[in-house]
Amino acid sequence: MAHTVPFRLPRVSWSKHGVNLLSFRQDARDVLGEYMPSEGAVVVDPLWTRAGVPEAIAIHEVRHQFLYRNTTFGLFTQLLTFMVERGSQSRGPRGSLAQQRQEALDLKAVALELGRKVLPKCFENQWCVQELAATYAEISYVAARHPELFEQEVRGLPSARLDQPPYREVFDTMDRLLPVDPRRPKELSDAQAELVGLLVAASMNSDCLVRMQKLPWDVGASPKWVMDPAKALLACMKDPPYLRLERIMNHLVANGLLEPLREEAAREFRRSADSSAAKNPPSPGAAEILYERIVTLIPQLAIYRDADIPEQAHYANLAWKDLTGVNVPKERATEPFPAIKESRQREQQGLAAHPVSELPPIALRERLKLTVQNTLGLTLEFWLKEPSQAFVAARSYFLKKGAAPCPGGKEDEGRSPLPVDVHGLMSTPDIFRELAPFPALPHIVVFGDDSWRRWYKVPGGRPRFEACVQVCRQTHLTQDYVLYLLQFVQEGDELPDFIVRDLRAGRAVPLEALGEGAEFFLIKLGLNEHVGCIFNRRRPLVYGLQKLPADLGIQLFLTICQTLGIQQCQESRPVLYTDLLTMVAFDFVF
Amino acid sequence: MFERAYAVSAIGEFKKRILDNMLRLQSETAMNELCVPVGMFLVLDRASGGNTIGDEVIRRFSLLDLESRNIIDFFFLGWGRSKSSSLTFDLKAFQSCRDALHKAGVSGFGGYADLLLFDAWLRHERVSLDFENALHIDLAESVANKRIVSAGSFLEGLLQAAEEIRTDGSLNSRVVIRISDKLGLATAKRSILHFVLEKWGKIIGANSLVELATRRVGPVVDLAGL
Repeated sequence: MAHTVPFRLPRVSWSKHGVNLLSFRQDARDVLGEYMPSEGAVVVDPLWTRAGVPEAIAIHEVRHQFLYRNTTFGLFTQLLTFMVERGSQSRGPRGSLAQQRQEALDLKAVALELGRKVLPKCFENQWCVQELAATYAEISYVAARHPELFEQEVRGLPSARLDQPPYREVFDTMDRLLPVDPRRPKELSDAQAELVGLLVAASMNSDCLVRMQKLPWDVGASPKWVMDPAKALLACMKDPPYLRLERIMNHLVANGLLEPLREEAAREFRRSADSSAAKNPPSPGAAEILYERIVTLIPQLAIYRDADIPEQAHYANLAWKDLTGVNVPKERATEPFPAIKESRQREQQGLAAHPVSELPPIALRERLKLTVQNTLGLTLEFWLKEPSQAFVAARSYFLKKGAAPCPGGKEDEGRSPLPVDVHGLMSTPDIFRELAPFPALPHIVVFGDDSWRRWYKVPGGRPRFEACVQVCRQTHLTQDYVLYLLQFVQEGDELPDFIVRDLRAGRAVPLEALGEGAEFFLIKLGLNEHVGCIFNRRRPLVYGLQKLPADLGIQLFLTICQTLGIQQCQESRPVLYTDLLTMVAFDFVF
Repeated sequence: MFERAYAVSAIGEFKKRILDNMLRLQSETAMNELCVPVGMFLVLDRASGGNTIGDEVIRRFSLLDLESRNIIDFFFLGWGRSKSSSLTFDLKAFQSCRDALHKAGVSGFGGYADLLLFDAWLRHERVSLDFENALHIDLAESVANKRIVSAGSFLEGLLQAAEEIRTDGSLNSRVVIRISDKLGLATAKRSILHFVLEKWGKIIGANSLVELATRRVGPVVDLAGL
């Protein structure tokens, strides 16, 4: 045996470690990133968290997403989560109304029981392997691309020895066998990280769904559950991923198979990269070949293949639907990109520091009057959670002489100071009433995130601002949000439901058609701060601004624009209002 | 690549560095139980009420880093490196570290420049800091009372002691001791502070020996609880 120390993962306890599969926390910092089934992989604004390598956080969260959506144990977790969340809202599939009510009550009780007993166990069973795959991929990325930060990143991992979730321990367990070495070529590091990802996927492709189909439940029987549902579902997890990974690794080590597998991974991924560079016809990918090798090297363990999973998922879903009367959403698709979102902590701090209060109508009226009297420019910013009320911020600026609504330049620095911003909550009828005597104002209207969709539901809302420059400024960066931004720019209508539905279900949508006529360019505001601007020359008063934190933000935005068919603006075709947009963008970011 | 003298800006970072170093030592030496010496400086800068002794200690940061290599981990609580690599003091961070120590039962700061020297243990999967048998020197007070000539020469003695431990071939036969080329000094199952003080005492001479008496400056603290 090459290694005398057996591969043994730490045993996690939900209550002891405060384990949370979905989030990656670090001491004294905000959450760096998280994976939520409903939202996908999320990287929290790296400018806020000061994450050393935001791309590595993205890789970490995307790895969770992959395992959650593409392995049998991940799908089992989805079913269970869905049952717990929706159980109380379900109706039985047949019978009288009274019977259906009774069944709904039964299901609610079952859901509570599953949420208390089974779901925590389900997460405990996979926590170590999920975090191992995600953390190993993250650290490998840092080692290969930012070797100077490698030790700092490893040191920063939470540890059970500090009474934190045992990220450091799970990483070290694999690192002892397959060391991450910052001096190694990037390709080898990547291949090794992929291999670890495949080993973990093999540990999560257990027979849990097969066991679930075979459970002795009878939907027509009374009581509905032939056996205790919690016990039944716990029995589906009799071969938990963490034990499976230990068996896989110990078998590979004991039989001297790990090193040849590592070498094969390096070879296959190199071949795959060469083949792709040479634009050869598609052949089985390196991942497929390696996964198949893992399956054949460990014949004593039931490791399901990718091709087996759809059928298993289908029958497990059917069993579930029979039982609960609820369709389980299909979640096998892989989101193309992670998201970058604002920090919740930051939002809470902002609200605590600047509590929202009412804005008296007279304050807006005075600002409008002052704007006319002093020939100033005025930006009105709106945030709406519902059409009846808006958070309004009125911000003045110097107008460029004879070129309204464009902002003035340095020549205005000697003028008297601008009035301070006024802001607060106002009812939309009050806003209309105060704006009525000033049809030429504001010069610029700015909608926060998707507030425009609610403003457009206010009668007369949309036409009121058609004569001024309209900007939607968006904070969170995801493909869906950029799609809404594009919709604002293109037509100002909501996305057709079928597109939203298809997007969420991962079905093919001709996305590139949506960007027809739209262009984008980047506004640089600082070393790491950029804003992406989307516009269409057919609608010269309408612009979408997207906050882009760090290089990761830029890369994501460029990729999403390419996917949606939004063309990069040609320098030879200047954009109207560049200065104005830079001014709005600057207010937005800082 | 692996820094030895650490400028620590918060107690969390201090904990992570101690733990990281011990895990790496454990991995390299394959010792289940090990002990390393840790030096902790509590030094104020001039703007926050510090004095010339503090200045002298901070001036020696790089020297301590270089000369104590592979023997002792020194931590300067509240001090961090700016982008230009110069050391900067953060009073808030310093205070948070002091509060954490105080909460753990480690108190008694002279007010200008103190050194705490103690053993850190890794055993039974936990890390603990032994303040029961520690060295606490109020450098400013010791210089004022002429028990030591200067902070500089006193620390110089410590570095010499560290160097002698490194080059003393007989140590390995007397105790289970490991000096890692990359990481540092560790003993198994025995206090390492004892060896450091023994060497140091011989260097600084009889007049200053009283300064090297270990005493209880606090309890044994589990690193996680600090």
